Amino acid sequence: MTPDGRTGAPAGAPSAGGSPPALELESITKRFGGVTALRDATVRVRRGEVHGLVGENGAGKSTLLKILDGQYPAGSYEGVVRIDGEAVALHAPQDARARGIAIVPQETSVIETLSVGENICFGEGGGPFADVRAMERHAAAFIDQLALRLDARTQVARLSSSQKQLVMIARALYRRPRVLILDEPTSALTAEETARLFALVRQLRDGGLTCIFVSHRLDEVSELCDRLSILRDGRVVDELARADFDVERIIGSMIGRRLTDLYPERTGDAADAGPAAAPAAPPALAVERLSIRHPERPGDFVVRDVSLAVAPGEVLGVGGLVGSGRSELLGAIYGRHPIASGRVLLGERELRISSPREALAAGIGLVTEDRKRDGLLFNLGLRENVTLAYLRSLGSVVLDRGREREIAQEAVRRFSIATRSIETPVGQLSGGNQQKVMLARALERGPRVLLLDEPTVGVDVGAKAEIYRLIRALADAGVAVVVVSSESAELLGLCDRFVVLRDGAVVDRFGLGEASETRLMTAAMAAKTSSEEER
Amino acid sequence: MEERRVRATPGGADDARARRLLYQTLRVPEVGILLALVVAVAVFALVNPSFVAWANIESNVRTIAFIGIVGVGQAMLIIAGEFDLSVGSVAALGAVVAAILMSDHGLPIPLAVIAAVALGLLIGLVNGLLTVKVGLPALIVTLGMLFAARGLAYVISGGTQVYPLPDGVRTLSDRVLGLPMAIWVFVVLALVADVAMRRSGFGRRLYAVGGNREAAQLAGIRADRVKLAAFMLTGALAALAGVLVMAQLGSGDPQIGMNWELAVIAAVVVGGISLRGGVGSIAGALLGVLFLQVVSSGLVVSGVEATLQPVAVGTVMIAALGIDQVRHRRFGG
Repeated sequence: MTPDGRTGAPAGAPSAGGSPPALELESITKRFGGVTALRDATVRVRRGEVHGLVGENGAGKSTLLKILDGQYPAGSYEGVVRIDGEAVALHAPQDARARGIAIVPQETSVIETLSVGENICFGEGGGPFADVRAMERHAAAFIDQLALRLDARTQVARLSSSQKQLVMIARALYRRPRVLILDEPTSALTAEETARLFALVRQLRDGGLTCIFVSHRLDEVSELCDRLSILRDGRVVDELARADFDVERIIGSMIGRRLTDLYPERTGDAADAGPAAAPAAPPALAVERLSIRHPERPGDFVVRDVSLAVAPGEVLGVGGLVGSGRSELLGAIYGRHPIASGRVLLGERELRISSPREALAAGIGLVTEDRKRDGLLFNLGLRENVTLAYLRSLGSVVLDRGREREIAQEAVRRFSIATRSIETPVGQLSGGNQQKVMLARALERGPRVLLLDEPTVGVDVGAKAEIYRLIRALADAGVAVVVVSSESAELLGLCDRFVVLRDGAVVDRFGLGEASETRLMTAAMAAKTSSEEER
Repeated sequence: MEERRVRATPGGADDARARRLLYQTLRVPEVGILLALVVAVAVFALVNPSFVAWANIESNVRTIAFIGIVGVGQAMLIIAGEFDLSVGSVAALGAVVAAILMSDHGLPIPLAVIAAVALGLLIGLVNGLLTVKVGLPALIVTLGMLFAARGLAYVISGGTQVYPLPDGVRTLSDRVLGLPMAIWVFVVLALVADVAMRRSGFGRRLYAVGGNREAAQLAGIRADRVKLAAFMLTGALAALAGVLVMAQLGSGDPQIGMNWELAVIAAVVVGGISLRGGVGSIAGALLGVLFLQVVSSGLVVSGVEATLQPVAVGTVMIAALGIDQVRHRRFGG
């Protein structure tokens, strides 16, 4: 625990005074095949500060963290990692541990069947045999010290996801790290738990701990961090000291300037960019005061009281962060999640369905966010994947193979899917082509409403532009399209009207005329603009 | 295997077509196990030429007919992403029930057979409902059924073989067109199942559900029903195999089908059915059944001690799984 550190140190020029930064990532460049995830990125974290890392999805934050954690071993990237001024080669997570770097990952990674105490002390000291009692005793003392509200003897499986998050943090701290990395630690926490976590981090910082804090929520970042590095497209584009924190500047740096010719031109009414937050024509799809229960927290909701409407020929953009209820909203419309209250109208008619099967029959198509998890069948080829939702029309017993091939070939032509043949296993296609296969499937039955969840995730720029053109062409043909995306530029370039969700509720809605990336992100992140900041 | 509609290529380049044919042949996933089978047969034939005598071939094929019938169901079920450990016990229960119905209760033979198969179907339904609807692991459900059905077979039969059976039963084990009935049943079932898996909507749905249940459901496939159907089919085929063994033995023996469950799973896995679901074919699975039979009977005619056979079978299975794993890591998603 070093006595030097932050006491009133004016932030600004790098490394004021003698001591080197606690952690330094210098000129890091990391490539994955043809994609460059980090370009010459430099981040310096001083001893005893809370250093924020912000940037949009795909800006390079996780890549940076994985390098620090040794998951991308030294040598797989260019640049140097220094700890206390000394260059280190982190070849594996164990190396990072040995150097005093502890990371609390975003995803919950606890051992469900063990107790809180065992999870915290797991693998620390003790001979070949685990003394569970001793572990739990140590852990209990440690938990007290951190003033966490956890019982060391409880089995982890019985905890809520926020409590599990606290267990992970306690486990990381139990190893007495010099640098603690928190990756989106608050996404599972309630407001009160967040406040307690922040108090704890401040207390540890004052005790000399260095902390890296990654978050999407700019209000949290502004509240907790001493300095901030902002990433965009793999570069560190800005570095701010607390005194210079300004939400507009932060968002401005995150967004930067972008390619605009990626996006197709709008035609028809939408091009007039009326201020309308409501659709002009009678909607093809209307959602009225829809709520969906939280799958884990009884009494809580992932979507609350959401209303929206999309007219034929319109593209509605749904903004919001991951976890804001966007995907669940689409899922509920598609019959995947039960609706707690409210209703969905398809044209004039109320839609009462309980399965995706019925949604398809009613004329709704969905392209999910995660191709691997619930999108494609990697055991089958392009042909089978395209026709999957259309099997019944290919014959009740024996499939009409000629017709099936025609459909697949037609999809390859229409969506310009780059593939050797229609029999190619989908796993061998590029991300963009996989995405087109999913689009082709969702469109095979000619839906009137198309729901797209992150339609260009993991897709290169060229394929993105093609997918945007396809979506616009569909809208022009009269389909009502709903697009969910984390990329504000994508939403702005593609959509006619916008709804922004935060914590499951609509926090803003506007037409193209009033739309801006700042407005989208400000609403999504609950960031207060400087004028309304209370402190 | 199948006639492909070749797109008319102007000026037929025979050479290119031949090369493409070779390439396509090598890409057929069953080619690997087929080559292994050919090599094994050749080796054993060299060691002991009587291995390829017709009598030995027929005896081998008859042996695999029973396990092959079970293998057809099991392969479909594993492709759908589940499996069934109770098949051997269900075979015994089916055999005993059929035997008692026809000998003690004088039920006409076809009705007794139908009743036994229906019972298998019902047990499959129970397995399926507990697994798919209640959400218990198939391992536990079907392991429990393995004990329960075997126990029931003993209880119903009083722990002894049920015989004599009515004379008419012999038609079930008679030779038809020079081959035992069981072989015909097996061959017909295998052909129908293989074509069904390649060409039918049901087959496609099995692959889809086993490959990615969530994605299949989002594409409108009722995954639960598909799995349920596969469980029921497996139960029915197991009971049918049990009845055919009963006909051959001439008695309803509660010990029929002992250890079938693992032999069947081992065989279909060797034949390229992935335990992860969604991958493999009936043809491959049955080649796997044939291969294991060739290995174990080949070792006998080669004079290898009988006690060593399980060692060989185990080694082959682990080797096959290892190859599958490597292939998956190389090419898998």
